[in-house]
Amino acid sequence: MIFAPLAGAFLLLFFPRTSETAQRIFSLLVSVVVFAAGVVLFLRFEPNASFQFEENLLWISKFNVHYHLAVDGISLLLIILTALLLPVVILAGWRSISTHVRAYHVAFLVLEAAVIGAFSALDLFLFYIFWELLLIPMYLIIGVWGGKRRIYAAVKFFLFTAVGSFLMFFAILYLVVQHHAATGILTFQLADYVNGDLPTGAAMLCFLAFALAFGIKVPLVPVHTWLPDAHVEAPAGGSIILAGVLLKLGSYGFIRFAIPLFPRAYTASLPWLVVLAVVGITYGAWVSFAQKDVKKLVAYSSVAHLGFVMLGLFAMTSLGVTGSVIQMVNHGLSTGALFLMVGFIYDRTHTRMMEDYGGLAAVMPVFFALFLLVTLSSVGLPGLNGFIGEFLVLAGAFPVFKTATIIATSGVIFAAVYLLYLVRKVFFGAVNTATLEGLQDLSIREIICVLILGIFIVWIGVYPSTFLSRIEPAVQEFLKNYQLWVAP
Amino acid sequence: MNPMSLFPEIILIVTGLLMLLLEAFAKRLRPGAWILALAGTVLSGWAEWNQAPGSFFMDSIHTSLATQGLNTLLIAGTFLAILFAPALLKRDGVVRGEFYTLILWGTVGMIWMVRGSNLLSVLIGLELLSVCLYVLTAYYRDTDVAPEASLKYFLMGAFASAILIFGAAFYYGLTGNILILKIPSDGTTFTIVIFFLLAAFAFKMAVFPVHGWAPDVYQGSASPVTTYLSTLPKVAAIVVFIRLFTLAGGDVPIKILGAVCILTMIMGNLVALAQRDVKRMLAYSGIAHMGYLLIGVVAGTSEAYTAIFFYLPVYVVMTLTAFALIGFLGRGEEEPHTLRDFGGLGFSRPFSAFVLAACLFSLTGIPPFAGFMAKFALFKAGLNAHYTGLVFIGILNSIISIYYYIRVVYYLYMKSPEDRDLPAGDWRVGFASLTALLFLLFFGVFPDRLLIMAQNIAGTFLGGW
Repeated sequence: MIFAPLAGAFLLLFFPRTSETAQRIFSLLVSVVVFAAGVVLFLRFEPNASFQFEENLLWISKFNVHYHLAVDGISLLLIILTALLLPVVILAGWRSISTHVRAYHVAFLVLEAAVIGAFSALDLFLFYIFWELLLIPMYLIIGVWGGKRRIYAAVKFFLFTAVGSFLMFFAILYLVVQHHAATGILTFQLADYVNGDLPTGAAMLCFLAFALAFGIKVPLVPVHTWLPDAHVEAPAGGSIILAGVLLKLGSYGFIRFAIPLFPRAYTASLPWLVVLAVVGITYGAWVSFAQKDVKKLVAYSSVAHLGFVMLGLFAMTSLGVTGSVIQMVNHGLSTGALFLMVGFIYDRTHTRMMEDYGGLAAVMPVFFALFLLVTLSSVGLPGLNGFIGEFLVLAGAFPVFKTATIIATSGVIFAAVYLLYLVRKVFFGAVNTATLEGLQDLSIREIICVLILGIFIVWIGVYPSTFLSRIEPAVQEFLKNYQLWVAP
Repeated sequence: MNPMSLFPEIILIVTGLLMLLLEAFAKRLRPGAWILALAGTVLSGWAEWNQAPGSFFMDSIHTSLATQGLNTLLIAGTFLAILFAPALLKRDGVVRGEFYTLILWGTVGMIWMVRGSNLLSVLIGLELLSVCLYVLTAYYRDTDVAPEASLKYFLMGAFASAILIFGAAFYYGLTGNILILKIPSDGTTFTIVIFFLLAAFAFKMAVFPVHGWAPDVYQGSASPVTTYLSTLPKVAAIVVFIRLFTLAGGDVPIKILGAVCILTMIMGNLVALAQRDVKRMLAYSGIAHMGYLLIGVVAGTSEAYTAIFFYLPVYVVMTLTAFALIGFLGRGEEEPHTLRDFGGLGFSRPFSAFVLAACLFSLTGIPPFAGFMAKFALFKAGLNAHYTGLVFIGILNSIISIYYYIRVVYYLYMKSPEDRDLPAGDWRVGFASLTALLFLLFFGVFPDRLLIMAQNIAGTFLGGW
């Protein structure tokens, strides 16, 4: 699954520059094949075993670096989410991306390979390589195909992420060297470092380096400022991938790396992290409400939603962590779909200001219906996916952090307020301008895009066990290990 | 006495002479001179690789696995520099055979620096190299900047050579011999001698505080010259530097070098941030990279030397290619190479721009390019030798450097094109860029082979030669 997109990207380079339709179809085929592989992976996955489909090859013998990949229930879902979003992204850019088409698709395919690699790597070195590898294509996607202030946004994105990851790199190196000095074994395997016996101070610093790198990606307040810029300026496809997948790398990084590597340092800093998560929820909600720009509103709502993800994770209860993982997937679907639809309407009107819209429900009924579905899922209406995630998170977190959870619950209400406010502004009221009256409703291609996501939104909402049954064993094991690590 | 031991040098010198003769008597062949020069380097590289180890000419020069490996690197770098040159020379209308003669002879000088086992042969090598470089710097004599750069370089370089000679004379006066390995490591007098010698090579490496000439000279000399000037002499100089530094005993030299290392990194990176001229920026980035390399020298373990000898070829390829492509994509040597000139080239000249971007990412240390592996190996060696602070400063500096490297990339891909003539494509540049790109990618993903070679070189190097 990693090499298919890379090979596709390489072949795509040889397509003649003018054959844009062929390039689009080819990239779509590649991404569909990858998704099909993902589905096969999902079906053959055994819910009750831990890591599966393991590949472990010696890669760089001098440093004893292994090409070590495996998936468990947590990474499985995120990988499938990635593979699902990519065809949507390519379809979404079918008409709106008209410059440098070949490069656009090459960048996305490379990005997909890097993300899937990062979600399945079990070797610190390998993980870091994939983690950094996705910087370059994302940087180019924002910077080349983005909006007016794209360069500012792209550079900000790159600098924020790279600062975090260079410090994380230092922490990895430090860990490896200490381990080498203590045991005489040079290794980068994650399993060898879990709950290592570093002195408390050093462990704390290393944990902070990891937490900073992942916290920037999530993004936790106060290092979230790159996110609204990047989202607003990125093309629709870029926003979808950014919100849908890249942010999840941060929260996934906590589960897979930061917490198992330094469980005690994590426990010690837990109160602060919870505060940050709750601040993220309320702050994100408040700021969203104040936005006039539709895309910015959705971007800040991401900050709030990811706050829920982190809160559920920090609760360290079975319900909370499961909810957190399913909420990662939900956020990828709902927010991805929101960005997608904002992109559709932007393609038609070239404005993102709410005041320029009004009464669209009458002009574009199909669009309205789908938008409402997605919004309600994001708000957390029972029967749709958002409800499952948020409910599990709040139920899981309440026994542990009562006050924090109560404050966080207000975030759910705010989410309803600002998202429904958005819907009211855009879809109801009078049709203000002549341009709005003449708008075409969604085309078949666009409807398919949304429906792909919509199916999963409803599926998770109605029958979540398909997915929960895969997540839960992995979460149980994670928690069981955690209890062992922090036990005195 | 074994003339065979001089085979690589003889081939280079004879090729250079042949080209001078051609230049004088067969001017029609000028456009093909580069082929002859390339053939010379290939032959010489082959001869170098097949040398027998040993000591020759009354211990004046030495051949070992280490010198063979490093000299092959120097010759290969020369090959790459020559391959990039003809397109630029043709564009600027200065196609003359002596350009290659000077480059080839300069390489002979560097080979002698690496092989020399007494101070005299090292000195002769350094002077031969320097004289060639002074002339090369002024090679575009019709521009305003080149003669100025050359004069600056000459004045400063002569001063550095004088310091070296002074140190050597001091040593000879004290002991009556000039063999490098016989320099005793104890005693203040000898520490002073070594400092004199080190200072001279530090100058050629352009480390703080003797770096001031580098930006002016790199910017002033024409791009086909800068490619050569900014990379290979640094390699030769750092090899001699390490050799001498291992002789200096005690803690004090290490502390001083640590300070120099920190200042070099910080100065190089901070000043590079402020540059508007890309060539000048890369000059400062080159200074910063020498700072990173000094972490390895300070650490001084065999792991660190392995990392250094891995870093050197990677540094040569990425910096050389970056300078060459900046020259190639720029407006010409008369004009400054401002960032603006590179706007939009990512799509009008996709391949060269992509290779340039790859070199810059590699310089930043972002996988999957070899620059990342090199930095990784170096920092790891530094940490293993318990220089945590030094490595941490190195990481912070890499963070600073991200900004100025990616600034070039965003001009390439995200700014709209300037109204200017695009460079005509050239297959030699294309081929050289492809070679560089494959090198950076291959050793970025599969570094094992180069690492093992570097380890062997470090082994022989530490064992005496």
